[in-house]
Amino acid sequence: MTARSGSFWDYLGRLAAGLAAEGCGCGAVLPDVDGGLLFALRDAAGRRHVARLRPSGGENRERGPSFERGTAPPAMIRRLRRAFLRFAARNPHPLLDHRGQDIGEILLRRGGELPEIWREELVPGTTRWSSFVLEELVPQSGALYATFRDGERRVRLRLTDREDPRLAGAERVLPVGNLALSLVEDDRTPPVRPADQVERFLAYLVARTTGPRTRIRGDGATSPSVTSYGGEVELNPFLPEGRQGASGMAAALSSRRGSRLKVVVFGDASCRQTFPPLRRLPLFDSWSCFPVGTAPEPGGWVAYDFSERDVIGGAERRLERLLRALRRRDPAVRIALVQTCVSRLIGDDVRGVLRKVLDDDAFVVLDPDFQAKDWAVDALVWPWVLRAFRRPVRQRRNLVNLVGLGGRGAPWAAELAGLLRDCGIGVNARLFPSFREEELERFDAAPLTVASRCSIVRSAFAGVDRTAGPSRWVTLDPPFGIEGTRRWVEGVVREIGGGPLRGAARDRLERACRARRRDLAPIRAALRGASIALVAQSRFSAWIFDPAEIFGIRILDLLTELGLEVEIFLHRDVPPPRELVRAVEGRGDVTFRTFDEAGALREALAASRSRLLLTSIRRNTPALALGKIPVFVQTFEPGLDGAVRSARRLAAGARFRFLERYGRYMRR
Amino acid sequence: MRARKTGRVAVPGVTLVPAYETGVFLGVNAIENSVLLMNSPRCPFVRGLKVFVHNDLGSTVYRATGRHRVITTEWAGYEDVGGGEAAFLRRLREAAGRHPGHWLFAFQNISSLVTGFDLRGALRAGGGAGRVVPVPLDGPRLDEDWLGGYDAVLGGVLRRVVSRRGRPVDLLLAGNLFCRNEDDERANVDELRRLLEALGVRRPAILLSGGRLPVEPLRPRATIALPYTGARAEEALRRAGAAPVRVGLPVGIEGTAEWLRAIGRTLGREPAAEACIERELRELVPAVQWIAAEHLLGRRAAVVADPHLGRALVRFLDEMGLSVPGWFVTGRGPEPAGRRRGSRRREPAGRVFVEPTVEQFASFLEDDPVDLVIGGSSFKYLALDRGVPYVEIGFPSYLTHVLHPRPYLGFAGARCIVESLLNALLERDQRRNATEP
Repeated sequence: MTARSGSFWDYLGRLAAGLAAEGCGCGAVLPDVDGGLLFALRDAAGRRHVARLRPSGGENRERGPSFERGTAPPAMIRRLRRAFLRFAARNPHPLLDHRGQDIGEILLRRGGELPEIWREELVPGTTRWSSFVLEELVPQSGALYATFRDGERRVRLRLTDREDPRLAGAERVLPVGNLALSLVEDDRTPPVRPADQVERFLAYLVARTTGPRTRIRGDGATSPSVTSYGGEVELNPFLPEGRQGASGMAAALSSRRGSRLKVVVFGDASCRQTFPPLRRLPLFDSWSCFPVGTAPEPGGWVAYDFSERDVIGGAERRLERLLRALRRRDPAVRIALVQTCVSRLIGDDVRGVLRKVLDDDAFVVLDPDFQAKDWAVDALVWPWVLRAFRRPVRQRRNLVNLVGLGGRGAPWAAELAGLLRDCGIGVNARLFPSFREEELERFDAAPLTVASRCSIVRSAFAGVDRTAGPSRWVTLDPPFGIEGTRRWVEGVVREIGGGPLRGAARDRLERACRARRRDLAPIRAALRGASIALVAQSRFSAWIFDPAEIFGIRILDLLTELGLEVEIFLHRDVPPPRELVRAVEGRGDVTFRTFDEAGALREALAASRSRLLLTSIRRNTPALALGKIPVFVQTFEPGLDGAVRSARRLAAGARFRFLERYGRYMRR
Repeated sequence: MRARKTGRVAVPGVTLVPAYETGVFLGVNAIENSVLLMNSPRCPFVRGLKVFVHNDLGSTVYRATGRHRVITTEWAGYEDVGGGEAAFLRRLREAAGRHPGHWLFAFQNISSLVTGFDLRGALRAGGGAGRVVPVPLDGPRLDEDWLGGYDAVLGGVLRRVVSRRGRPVDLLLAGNLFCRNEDDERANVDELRRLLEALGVRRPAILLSGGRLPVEPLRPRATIALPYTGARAEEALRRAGAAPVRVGLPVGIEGTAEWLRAIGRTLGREPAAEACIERELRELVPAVQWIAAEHLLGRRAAVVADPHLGRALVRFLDEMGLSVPGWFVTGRGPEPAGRRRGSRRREPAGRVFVEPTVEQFASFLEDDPVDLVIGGSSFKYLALDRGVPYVEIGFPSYLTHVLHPRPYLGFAGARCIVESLLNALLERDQRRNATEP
């Protein structure tokens, strides 16, 4: 028996059963986060005990396993020890061994290979903990990201060195020797039972495969770049650009309305100017689905641009004076301090200064880490924003907070509010990616908070204790498409306690859907036979098929509803992403093509009948050169009207003849 | 920021003056056969998109294929900051292999500078340097802004290009701020050439001027420096024995005429300059006379521009009958240098805001209403929110793009500026008349 022929969860189940069969009274065996094993025991009198197999390292291996007996009688532990040794001898498992004790350093880098010791034990699609399957394992510089999924539930863990700066903002950190596991995303509803505790399993695995001196280090400098000369780009020019860690955070902070929050940017002017200083200028990343502001409103930002003198001598004292001035102006001021790289490098103790001047909840330090592509900054700012502004208010029935559907200014905001109003539900507050302070103050007036089911929202609110406030959080698929919008409205009604939608409200919703279907019919007719190409090569492009990655859009369903057929181009050597396999089951309107190198992809695309190409790359000359009209995720808008607008745009693209007429004149 | 005697400090707002690094981006964007290699994380690339994508439809720096002309060593963690040399050398070799014969500007971000990364040493040590033209750039300088960064690139180019043993050219015009590869800047270059040819100058070398920049030594018989020629560029010229004659920007009617006269004097061709001015004014004045007298006279405008373009614009607006109650200086020029951010002073033309903040601009529009704003687009969103027309010229111009020749320098540029002012005011009057019958 090895780990590869069955999960460790199953193995522990068999171990418990084997020990019980030998009269040990063992009901369950669980791994401990330090590499030990916990045994749930029951003695002859029915009393419960917990024994613990110590995480013995190499130094006492010769003496064999050592148990802590807790309250269990010594004879019971002796029996347990003997039975355990017999079972382990008959059923060896690699995770009962201690390996990697002498590893001094593990180098993790973006796009790099994992150390062999983990490649064996952590196999995406195979490694399981109870019903959670390891979905993805992504090394970044100095970090390993492991994603486990159980249906709609997803848990994302990050393994780093214990000294890693990314842990500064993490709310839940599990130390494992010199290493640490932190929770990046978590869809589980607390309390989390052991069968769902994937971090317990992963911590055990790490403890069993590393040693007391093992450290993790990163080497981004040697990592291939996806965006400049990476092999991925050479093969597939339709890859998305990476996200700049803090851009979304800055957009959020610059787009909020209110006066108590001051964004203090502390560092060099170049760094501060990463963000476009113009309203509604789209950012080149996933945030661009939302029409957020990216320009500082007067009075909202305080820019402390370092001088040469600050770099040499530090700027703590001047920061303190600045903070005191802000507090004098408004004793209830809230400070989001953006600490840029240079401030961090010269060792300014900005947290210490902030603590001297302000209460703990009155500030947050946002450290736009170089590698923070995993919403680390968002996950810090949003829970704080909620904490800093929400106030105790009386709850009112039939109010709902919407999280992840844009602000009041979004083109679809009024329509969605109208659809809910028709069902007797009012919108109390909108949150993410923009917010208004006054709405946050009354956030708890709504008994229900509906968040969009997508990773950007999930990550941003991973640190929000959803059980802490009076507003109950639920996650729903966002309202894309006519059917999707109908399901969303019904879902909100159901969750707010109204049961299934009925009566006049149901009739109104049906009428609205029917009207939009009528609007959609001629557009669908115009689109008949038209198709769109989706290119999937590897994990970089699998995002297209994962609703969580594209704002909750179930892209194949939506395209079908809007009247488009789909051609999917898959790399021959890469198994189709799981999301894709799930999505295309039983569908006739999806065609698969395979390719094996860049030239073949270009040829296949050139020969394909698809006039449209879904991409996230702007100024997509390769797509235009192939006669394809780039379609961006932003084409798809939420709401019923949004569905019609989206379809109109696609139809316009499908009948666009410019490339055919003038393609030979285009600059490649 | 300076503590006053009371112990109180001024709370700085947010200024939108582009940083030193932005000027470096502009310089690289202006040279088609160039690569910028930075020891830094990836954020400069993202910042550069403002220059290469939002500001410039014709830029070739950002490529959808991923082969961008800005290459960063892409630190992925703080632990990488001090150890970028290996990655830098690898990227240098890659760039040399992929872009043979290109100008390779080597630069770093502030964190790299603080940790003591030896940029020049790494560049010297790099293999492949023989296949590219390596130009190390100083900085980033925190006490300089984008004009300093542009000057650093220009200075690096001039050090390579101007030589006592180079090919002789009639005239080198240094310090042209080529903001983008669109038909406003290209037309500026054409207009400068046209005016210089009117003085009998054949094929003047204009730097920077877009397109490919040959790595060919030049020996100018005369060198003229536009105001964007900073200390580094001027030093490079002096070292090469091409001490420049400084002139202003040829903006507006009087400004362009003065510019022509100054160059005419330098070249000993005053009569040709006067003849050119006479000819041009005969064409231009009839075209704008009624516009100035009936539409522009008495209007109020705010200017948002760097010290050089701003000063020239203030003068031109005054020439056309507009008053300028506020000039927001988006860069430190010779005159405003040393003034601290947000400071203001009284000038005949109105108030001058050095390194202005969004707060100052917003309150200016409230306190001192103007008919329009002209200049770079940094504050445009604030003006549009308040219904004030905004004519974008210069850098940045995120929301106005130019697809046909439309200069803002020279006499042709004066005509285009007048046209823009007129159209903006006519549109504003239509809106105002509709709401205030």
